[in-house]
Amino acid sequence: MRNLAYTAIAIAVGLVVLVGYFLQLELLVNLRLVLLEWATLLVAVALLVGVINLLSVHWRKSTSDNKNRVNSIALIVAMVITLGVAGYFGPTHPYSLWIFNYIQIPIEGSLMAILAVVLIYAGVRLLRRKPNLLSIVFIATAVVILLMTGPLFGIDIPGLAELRIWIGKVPAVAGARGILLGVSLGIIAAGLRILIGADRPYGGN
Amino acid sequence: MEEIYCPLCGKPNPAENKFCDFCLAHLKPPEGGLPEPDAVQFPGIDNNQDGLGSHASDSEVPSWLSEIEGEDQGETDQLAEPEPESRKSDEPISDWMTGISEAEESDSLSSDETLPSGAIPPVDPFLYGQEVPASDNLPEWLNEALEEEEPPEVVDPDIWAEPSPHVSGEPDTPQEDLTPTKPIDESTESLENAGPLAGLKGALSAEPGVARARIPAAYSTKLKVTANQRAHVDLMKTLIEDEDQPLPLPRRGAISQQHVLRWVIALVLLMVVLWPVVTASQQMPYPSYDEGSAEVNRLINQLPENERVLVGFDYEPGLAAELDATGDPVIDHLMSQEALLTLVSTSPTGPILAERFITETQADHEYINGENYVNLGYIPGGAAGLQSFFGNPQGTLPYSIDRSSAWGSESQDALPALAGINQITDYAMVILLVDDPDVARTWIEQLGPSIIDPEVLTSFVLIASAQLEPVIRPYFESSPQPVNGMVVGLRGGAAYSRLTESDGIPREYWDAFGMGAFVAALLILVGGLGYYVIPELSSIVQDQGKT
Amino acid sequence: MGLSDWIGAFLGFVLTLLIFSYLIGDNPLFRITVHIFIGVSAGFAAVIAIENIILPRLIDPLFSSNRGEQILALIPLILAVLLLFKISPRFSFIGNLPVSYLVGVSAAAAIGGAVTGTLIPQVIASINLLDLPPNPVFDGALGLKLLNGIIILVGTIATLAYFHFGIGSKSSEKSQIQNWIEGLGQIGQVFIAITFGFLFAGILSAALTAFIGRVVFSVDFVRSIFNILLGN
Repeated sequence: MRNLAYTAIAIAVGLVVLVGYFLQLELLVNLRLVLLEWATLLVAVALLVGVINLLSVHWRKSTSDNKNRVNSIALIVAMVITLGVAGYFGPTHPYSLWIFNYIQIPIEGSLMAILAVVLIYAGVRLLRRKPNLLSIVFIATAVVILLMTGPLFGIDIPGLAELRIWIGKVPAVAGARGILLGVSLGIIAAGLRILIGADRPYGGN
Repeated sequence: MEEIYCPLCGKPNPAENKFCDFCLAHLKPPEGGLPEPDAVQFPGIDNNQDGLGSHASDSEVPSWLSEIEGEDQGETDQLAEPEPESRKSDEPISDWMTGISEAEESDSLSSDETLPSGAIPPVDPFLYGQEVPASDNLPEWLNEALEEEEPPEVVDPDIWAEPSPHVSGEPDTPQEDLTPTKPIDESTESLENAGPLAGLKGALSAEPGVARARIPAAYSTKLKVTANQRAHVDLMKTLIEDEDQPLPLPRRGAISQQHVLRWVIALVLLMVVLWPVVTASQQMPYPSYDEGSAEVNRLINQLPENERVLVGFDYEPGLAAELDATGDPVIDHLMSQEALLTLVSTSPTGPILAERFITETQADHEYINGENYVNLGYIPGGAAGLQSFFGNPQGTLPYSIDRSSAWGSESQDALPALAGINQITDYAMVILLVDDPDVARTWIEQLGPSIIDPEVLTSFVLIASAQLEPVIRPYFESSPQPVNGMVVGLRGGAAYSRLTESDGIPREYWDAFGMGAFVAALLILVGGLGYYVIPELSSIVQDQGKT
Repeated sequence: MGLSDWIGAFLGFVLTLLIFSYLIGDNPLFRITVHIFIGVSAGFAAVIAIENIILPRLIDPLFSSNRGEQILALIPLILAVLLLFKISPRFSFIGNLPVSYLVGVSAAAAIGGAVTGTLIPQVIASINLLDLPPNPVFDGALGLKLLNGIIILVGTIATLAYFHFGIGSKSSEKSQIQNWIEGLGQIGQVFIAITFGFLFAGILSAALTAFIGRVVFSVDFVRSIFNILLGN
């Protein structure tokens, strides 16, 4: 019974939002906007739930005899300090920006930076791991694009710049358009399955 | 001349010979007559872990046999004799047979354990001419293949004279010497009906110690396969099973080849990037602009002063360096047009990035919060949130990030950046700084249908991370265009700087980027080829060396 | 550079080195640094969610002078309270109600966007590829445009064919259409490989720019230390 109620709610609100998107009936449009607004509020609450859950998990870890408890303690301390500073002064206050500029950006930026090394390493090993035509096409495209994305010391290799533009505007667009259409068809199929009650990712059986 | 026939190989020998000229088997029974069954010694059985090599002295075993034994114990009894029919299944198993049974089990276990992955498993010798049930463990297609197989020929005694080639491809050897034997129980003497001893009653093998006796397993009769066929099936089965099973991680030393390769890449990349940064090199020329950048430039140039522009900051702090560099010349251009900005984001850290970008990266413009721009903050909910915001901006984000009322009311005017804005198409332009393909697609999908209306004058441009170019270009290349312009990656930022003749962050990064991109491409190309070709070449050289 | 900036730059420099230490090998300091990052990130997310959304839009309307607004604000508040039960494993099921609401709204919003924002425009764009301009002059440029249009069209269809949006046939024999689709899918794989190669180069460019960003930051910091030491 309970599951039926969940399914009914998902279908009902989904249909109102979907029909209101295509049919410009004033009542329906207004109802749709209200439902969407509430949804944004709930997503913010869900984000908070996630943070609370993260905190509780690491609190448990930090109070147990776990050998990695130092990591959990570091996470909790960092979170509490950030919550205190950004919560008290505001998230865009210079103190909050100080934390953001000198802790968050260096760490996350460095994680992105080491990705460069990892990607080059993966590129070097690709031919060894999968020596086939598709790998060669993949690597050749990547190398041409990389070479022509940078200035190449100002050297003009005839045809290479044109090749980069052509790859970007013709075969890559073809592949990407096919992928985008595939993704959109996938989204529509998955969404419709939810709206007809075939998929119930909210806990219904 | 009188001749006697070898009991093992059946070939004629001079009568005075003690040993067969062909197979070196004893031609006459040893002095003292036949031993009692209990007295028969099977060293290989009593101490089977020693294998064949332990039960025959060097004087008794030819050297070639010793070599074979040493090479491959697991295959020594491939051509063992089929089960004598005389033995009834309900006969009590004598002690020595129990010993054999145990020895066999331990032997097979040990051989399994020592077999390297991918090696051909030892073939059960008693499968020669035997019927093998279709196994449940085999894949269905293999079982079907087995059932369809032609029944093999009945094992002919000649097979011993002309041994089949080994599955493993080992050198041809007189297989006769590997014939299993069993002690003779005089009370149950049986007539040999197959093999070289065919026709002899109660015959004792010439070389009882050379090969091990085995208890043949009883098989139901369904399918007959030869040992070779079975070996191939087993090989296939092993290969298929290996595919299903997770490979154990190879034990690595403290420093593996992969570690070294990674360090080399990191070091090379660091060196080539460090040099232009330390020397503050600004030698490399800016790229020529593409139509996407040119279109953005044209659209911003066309903006009247104090026009309202919505700017989405939808990237992660990790890519702040790239988006700062890409967006710097564009937003700089926009701010020099004195556009009034509304900042939003669908990422929780986006509002902080937006604030940082306006107040720090573009500090020269001295934009004031609430006067020149308003930071409306975070739009939760992805597609639903954007749909809500585009449909009803006031209701979705009624307050700025500092919780002041942004849109105005009866008692209060709206902030300048929001004055006159009732719906999303009231903005002259929407600019999105984005690093994620899905986020970019969501924005385009939710905003695009409003933008492509010919009566709508709002333009939509993207300032995107380099990884997004293939994803957003189909929208830019479409007709009608949901995306009117795009500046992609550091290259796009540099091209835009060339258009506006400005020297901002792109100029600071461009030389290092040029060096880094070139070396990255070179490493992938040369390293990839080397990493692939060198091991291939070395294996070819090794193969040639062996042959 | 003020003292707080200098301390911040020092902290940022150390954190950068700790993350870069991963290149030598995974180590406890790297893991602690990553946990610090998660903590800071989650802290900011929570503050933004509370200050930007929950307090002004969920709580404040309850104290509004408008009675209707107050009542309307109760519904999302009740849903939000129910959602909070998701924290407790025992009472997690109570949170399924707002989750079902969220799923329904999100699915509908995604469908609407996908249909009107990607599916229809991209199909139209594919159809328009071979449109001729008014009064066409058949020269090399037009020929090249048409050729490129055909390549894009074939590539798009072939890539789409690779996804196989069909119901698997029970029959072991493939129909001729299935064979065609598989053949097209093979061609599509080449286009996908090119697109992914382009994406790979793009991600590498982005990561390389981040790398340069960290190097520039570190060099600036080291330079500032030298300036201090040299008394400049």
